[in-house]
Amino acid sequence: MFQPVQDRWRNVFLCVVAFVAGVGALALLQSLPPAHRRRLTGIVTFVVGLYFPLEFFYPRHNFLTPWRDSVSEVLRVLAAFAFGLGAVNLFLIHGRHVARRTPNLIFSLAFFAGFFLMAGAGLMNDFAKGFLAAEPKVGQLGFWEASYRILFQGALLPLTSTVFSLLAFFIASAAYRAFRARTLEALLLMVTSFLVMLANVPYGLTVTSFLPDEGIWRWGRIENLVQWMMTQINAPAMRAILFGVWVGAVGAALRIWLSLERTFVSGP
Amino acid sequence: MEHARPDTIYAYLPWIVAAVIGGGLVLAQAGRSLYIRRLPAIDAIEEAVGRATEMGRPILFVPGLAGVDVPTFQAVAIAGRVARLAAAYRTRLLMPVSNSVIFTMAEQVLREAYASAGGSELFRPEDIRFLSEDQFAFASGVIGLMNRERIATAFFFGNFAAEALILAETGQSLGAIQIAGTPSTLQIPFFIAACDFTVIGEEYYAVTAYLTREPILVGSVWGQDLSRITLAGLIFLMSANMWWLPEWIKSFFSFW
Amino acid sequence: MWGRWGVYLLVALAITLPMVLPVRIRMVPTPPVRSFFRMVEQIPKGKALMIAADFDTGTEGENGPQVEAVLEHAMSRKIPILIMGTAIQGPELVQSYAEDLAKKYDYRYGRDFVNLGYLPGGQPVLEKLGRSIWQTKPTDYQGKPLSQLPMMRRVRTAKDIALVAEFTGAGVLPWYIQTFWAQFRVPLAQGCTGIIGPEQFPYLDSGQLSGLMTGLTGAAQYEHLIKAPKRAYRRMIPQNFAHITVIVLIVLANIRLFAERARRLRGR
Repeated sequence: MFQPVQDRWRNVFLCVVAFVAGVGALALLQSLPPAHRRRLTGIVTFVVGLYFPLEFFYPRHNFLTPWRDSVSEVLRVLAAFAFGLGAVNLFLIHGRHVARRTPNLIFSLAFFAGFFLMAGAGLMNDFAKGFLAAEPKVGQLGFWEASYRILFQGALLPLTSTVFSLLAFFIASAAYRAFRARTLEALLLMVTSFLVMLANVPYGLTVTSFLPDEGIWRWGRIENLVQWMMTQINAPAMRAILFGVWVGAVGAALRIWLSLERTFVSGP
Repeated sequence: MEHARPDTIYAYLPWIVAAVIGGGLVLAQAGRSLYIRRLPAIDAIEEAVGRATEMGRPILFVPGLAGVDVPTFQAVAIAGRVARLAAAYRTRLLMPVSNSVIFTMAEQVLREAYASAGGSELFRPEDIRFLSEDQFAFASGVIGLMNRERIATAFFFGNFAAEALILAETGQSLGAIQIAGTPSTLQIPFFIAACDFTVIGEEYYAVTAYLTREPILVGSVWGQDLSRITLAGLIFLMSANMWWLPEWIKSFFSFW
Repeated sequence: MWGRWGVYLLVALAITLPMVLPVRIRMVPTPPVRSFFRMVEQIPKGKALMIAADFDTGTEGENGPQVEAVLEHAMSRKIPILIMGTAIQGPELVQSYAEDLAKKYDYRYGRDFVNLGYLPGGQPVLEKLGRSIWQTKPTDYQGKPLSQLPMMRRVRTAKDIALVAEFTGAGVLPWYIQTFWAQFRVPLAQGCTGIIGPEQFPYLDSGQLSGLMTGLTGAAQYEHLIKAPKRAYRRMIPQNFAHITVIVLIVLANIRLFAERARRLRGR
């Protein structure tokens, strides 16, 4: 719907005007009495929320469709305003630990070190490759790009994988604790979990691999049995849960759209 | 760009569902008493908060990993109710979040919850923390928080991914009482294995109605249940149509 | 004895020992993986295989070996390959696998395989892609016009694609089902991470998915079918022993439960 503004200074001017207008609108909203503020918020929520279902349910390309990308962009810009708040919150909390020299000081220092290293390397790599380093030639790996790669691929990704790998231990301890045949349902759960686990490992599959894959004997093969369980028992159960969840989500979305559920906005 | 096709029933089904839910709202507003069955997990919330008070240790509430979506709004609403209880019991509530927008909402909701319970002075803004949007950075931040603060009670409500079991098992190892609720079908088994009480599937969207007993919310949940029955009946009718009914009836239903 | 730390120690040993000891396991391909293999095997001459790389480095551990196995199979049959993805890093990762394998099978970029790169925009973009690849993405991942790539003269719309093989750790399969399968009637096969595997079985059961590879197990089974055991097979060995360990722990926990029950009954 809208074309990008080509002129740089016009772009800056429009951003400044939009920012000032936004701050003014917020200040005006804050100055209203709470009841009026809630009513206005409810009206805006309803109107904006009406756009997407109207655009979708109106068949084929309609007068609302060209605005779809622009509306999505506006939502993304609004979310971006909140982005800085997270960083500010982190700085305040960890800054307080450093200022008061609390016992957790070392973790807060680690946060600041990691934050500035990663942000610095990324920004320098994108905007100032030659800052305090030799300007890299074409095809050459520059200092800041190498730093970014070491921090991202060499540190962040392995750390992510390390935390992910904790799941292996936690699944084992959860299974050891949970899969006990105290009741009939628990026994069924345990037997099913055995079969599914065996079907997911080579040793388990070889146990029944001697049976033919045709005729009645194919049901003795663990992979066929487990596939039947996954498609005829597990899948319908998941569909049933999802069916209930999605109707519930429609109800909850309706309540939020019509401002009937306000507890997430202003508390109980 | 995808649009609804008016030559099939699917374009009209959401309106049918919305109308049935609306019917429930109208009935509730008219003063009809509508029944919602008991949810043991939600009955246990007060007990869990009381336990944290007795032990003198804080409560943890994690509203999931997702950003601005309906399950997270529900989670923040539930957090408000839990915060009100915590304020009444004079117990500290910690709430790590993974999204900046949810962080602002959570701060507002919890501040008002503490105020409504007469505990404004107990509210500490630093107890609501933005950790990270990255899945495992958030998970490692939360488990660090759980271990350092030695939490007594943990609530996990919202959309979770693989980090669900990491959080729940850490709480288990600390001996915390844990109550979880998620619409994520893949994480339900992990919460059932590791938590004391779990709210699954559509129960998740009934929690706020169950906690507040507000007529509008109860009416909406009642309407949701009725619309599920309606849709299930429709599915059965269409299946019967496909398999058992004669051709002339099938052609009548071809629109569907 | 079987406290939490005992469980963790056993799991750690089960994972690390097979990595250093010379252990071999026998793979038994399961029906969904065999179907996937069959779909690639039956791609007719003149039609292309589209690889949808919808994963990032976070799930590369599982999706990476899956894609490599399918690439090797396609290259061994001299099938033209079109690479794209709705995740940022996916196409880049697949490009590196393809370049490594290209040396073995005398595949040349532009003539035998092309990478369109990252396609933002979700489902609407896939719909446009099926109608016209050239109009949706007129250049490849490096900005080279498609007119300069000989393979793309024969691959212009969904009609020229015999199979879409999608690899992901997220729930993006419905986009492909609603576009390539439903609108353009192109068969789909998927390689997914183990955690989302159960969610994909309904699609396999309904016929919307023609083949499914779940996690590292699926990749290892596929490598067995193409007779080229590589990193999936090597990684499957510790996973196999970890699963067996969990099964053994569950059995021991239940033996302990029944023994305690018997002791209590005797005590009465």
